[in-house]
Amino acid sequence: MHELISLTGSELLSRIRSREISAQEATRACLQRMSAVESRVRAFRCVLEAEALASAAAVDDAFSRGEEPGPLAGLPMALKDVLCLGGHPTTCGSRILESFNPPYDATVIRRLKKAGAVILGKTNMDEFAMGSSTENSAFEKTCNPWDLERVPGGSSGGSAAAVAADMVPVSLGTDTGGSIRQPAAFCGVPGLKPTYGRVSRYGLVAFASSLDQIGPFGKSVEDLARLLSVIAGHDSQDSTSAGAPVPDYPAQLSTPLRAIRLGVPKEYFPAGLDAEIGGALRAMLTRAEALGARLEEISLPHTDYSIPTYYILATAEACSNLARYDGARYGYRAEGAKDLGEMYRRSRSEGFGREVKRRIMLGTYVLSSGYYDAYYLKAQKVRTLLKRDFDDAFEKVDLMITPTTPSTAFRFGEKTDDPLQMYLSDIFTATINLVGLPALSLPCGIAKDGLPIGAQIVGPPFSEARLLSAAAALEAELGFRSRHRPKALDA
Amino acid sequence: MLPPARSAPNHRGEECLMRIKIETVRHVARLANLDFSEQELELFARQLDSILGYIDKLNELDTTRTEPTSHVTRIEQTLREDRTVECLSVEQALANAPESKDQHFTVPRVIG
Repeated sequence: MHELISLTGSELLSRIRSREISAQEATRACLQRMSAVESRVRAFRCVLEAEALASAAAVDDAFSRGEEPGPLAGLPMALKDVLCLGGHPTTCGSRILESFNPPYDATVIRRLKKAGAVILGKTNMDEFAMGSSTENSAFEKTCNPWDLERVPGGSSGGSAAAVAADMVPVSLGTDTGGSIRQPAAFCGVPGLKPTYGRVSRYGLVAFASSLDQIGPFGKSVEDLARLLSVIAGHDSQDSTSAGAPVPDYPAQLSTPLRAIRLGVPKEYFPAGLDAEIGGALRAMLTRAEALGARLEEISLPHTDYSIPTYYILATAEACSNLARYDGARYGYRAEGAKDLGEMYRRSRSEGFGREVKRRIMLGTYVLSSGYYDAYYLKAQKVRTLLKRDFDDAFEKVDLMITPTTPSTAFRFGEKTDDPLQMYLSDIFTATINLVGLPALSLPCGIAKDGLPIGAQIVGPPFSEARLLSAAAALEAELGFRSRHRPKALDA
Repeated sequence: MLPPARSAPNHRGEECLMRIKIETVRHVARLANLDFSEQELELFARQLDSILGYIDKLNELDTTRTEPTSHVTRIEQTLREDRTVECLSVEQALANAPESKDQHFTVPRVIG
């Protein structure tokens, strides 16, 4: 195995910066790894080999001329295929956008390019980011590098699997109800969903606008900090992006865990919690205590109501956002429609997959006349109660720790016939989107069947610096990466 | 307008909404501009019914005195100066159109 591909993004960056290796060597190592394993993982929708090598060469040239190519100079990375990359297909995992070439770059992509990052490709995902297994992609199934018979999680399954399989050291995903944290947990890599508004959503194809947030996957917590420093910050193109100053996240990583008050919400450790997941979390909490953290049991009393609330609000926003796919201005158009109405109905019916239609239907239903108050307004009110739970809890604690997922990676097909079961795999993550908080998933253990277990760390709004430094302390203490790695691709 | 939601007692004897019927699914599909076969309508009715059954759990909570939340962060009014900025050219805007003609998007006739 090529040594370079096993490095974290941050390690690779310092080798490129010291010119021990060139940016082109780093990119070539990733491309080589892709050609060896991608046919078994299928994490990518497209690989931009020529463009990537050209931007790596530009970074090398800048260094030779003594210029500063930016904080991510030469870092190879992948992007979830829901982010607009100008001039290249952005499919959102959907037939309806199969031929769509955005005429502009998303703000995050513009910032990454300016920082010197090298974009290697776009990754597979559940159609329009709706799903928890990447099985809802209209194009292909992505496999979990720890066990190729299992799902990588979703909806950012391709971005998580690409990092876990060593094809890229870092990637971007998006998270509306757990779509970064759940695949991060399933694939044994760290993944961060920032505070709502921390990162501009301009150029992110919308699913649920009050919940969507872009965030990084990496091989280490430091990787997440480096990417967040570049992509965070106000953007005049997104009026919901926050004006709060962006701290130097990597510089603050070494803040010790000592004296941190860690909340353990009892509702996230129910009696029926998987024994191995519960065990791994408790072991991690003991280590946190040994590092000087103070553990405190807390209660988030409305937890049981979060998934119903989420599936009302997320589908309502989705049905409105997805009304724009009508076959008129971009995307798939059904042939031979007699009139405009037929063109709309047939283009949408032929272009969208089943889960997307199911959510459009649910969202249309909860917003329709006669049902709006009973469902949509009710859910908005429960959202207030959920927010109050977290506001109260963060009066007492600095951060919270919970499991990321109720199970480890499941098998293909295991939950596809029962949408409700699939929705419940977001049970520990979706609430966090409803209340807009930052949260990351950190690999914290391995189950007997060899699959990774994720711990979710949650903080108050805009506490990413504290969240990342706590995660870095726990990461160093647990040593997950040096002790475990996926072996399914070794053969 | 949908037929008014009928009420029925739930297991605790409280009033709760009746769940989805196939005519309602057909009506919602029309609102959403989606066509389904009869089998798909039946499948969706069953699945939506089970999801809505789960969602009915929210009725356990008394929210009469609770304000709704639409956005969790404070949204400040963000106005920019009223001046022209660079934007997509007509060619760029039309580049993804399935059909276009003379700088316009082309669609089938509007009145059938």
